[in-house]
Amino acid sequence: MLSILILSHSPEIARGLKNMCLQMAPDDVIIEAVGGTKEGNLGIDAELVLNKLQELITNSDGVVILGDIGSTILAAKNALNMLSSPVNVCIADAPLVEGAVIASIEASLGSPLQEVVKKAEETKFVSKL
Amino acid sequence: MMYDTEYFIRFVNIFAKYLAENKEYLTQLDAAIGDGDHGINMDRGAKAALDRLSSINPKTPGEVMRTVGMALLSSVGGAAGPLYGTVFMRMSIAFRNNDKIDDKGLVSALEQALLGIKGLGKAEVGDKTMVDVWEPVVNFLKENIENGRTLPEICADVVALAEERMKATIPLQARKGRASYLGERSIGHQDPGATSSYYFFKSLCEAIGGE
Repeated sequence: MLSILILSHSPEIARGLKNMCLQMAPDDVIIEAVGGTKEGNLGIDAELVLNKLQELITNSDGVVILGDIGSTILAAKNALNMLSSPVNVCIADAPLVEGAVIASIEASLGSPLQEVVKKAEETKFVSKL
Repeated sequence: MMYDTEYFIRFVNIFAKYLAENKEYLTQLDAAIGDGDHGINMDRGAKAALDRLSSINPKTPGEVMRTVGMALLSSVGGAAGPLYGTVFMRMSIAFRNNDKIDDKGLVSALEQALLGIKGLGKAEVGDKTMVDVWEPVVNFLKENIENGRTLPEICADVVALAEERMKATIPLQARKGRASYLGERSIGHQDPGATSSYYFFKSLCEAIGGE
């Protein structure tokens, strides 16, 4: 089973998006979210990102990470560096909300890691109008 | 000169002091072109680092740097968390278990830290980031130390160069981070990350003299 790690600068976005993903993909995928600082303000706790990622690597077959603005991606890249770039972890270069929802569904359908990442990244080009 | 555990603890304390004293200033700089939290974030991170240092009581320079790195990762909150966290973690790895670090060891650790920052943020000189201070200062240090000089001999030049490069970020247009969203409006403001980097190098130098 794959897992999806949602990272946001905002604790509310992280929580809300996790709920959205769980509604669409309640089974066969692990969905986790980290957002905000220790105190619950805007920001990211990069140590918590590292710990959460380590936990997901242990408990699933692969991890797709999605983030919003710069600091969340830096926190994710830092965690990957500190874990010596594990092979079964990818950062998806995708819009956070659309990417996370699609990735959750795709992962719950049993698609392999690279396919989940690809589907998430394709949301960059999906027209809404 | 040899740099021991005490030196690095002194360095972290001086860096924390500068960040506390300039908390408002750094936040004002960041409010102009970012999200206005760099001063608050760095000060919170530095205080967390000092707390961890006093509870862990590290025995080697590498342990000091690792303790500070983890504290910054967990407590800074913004992009500076992973960036400065990487600086300290990379230096800690470079120091290994050595009790004392010489000038060459210090410079090669700083070089590793610079590579870490650049690898993470993909910024180059001229992008209006901390790299604008880090790269020229590390190159200057490397050149001089390779030619047999020591950090105490060139400290005044290091601080002057860091300050000059920090100020040189003012006319630049930001190409990385949140400031880049502002486009031309980022011109005319000093970069907050370059400013905290100036305090970093100033603290490295001042820690030599003792406190």
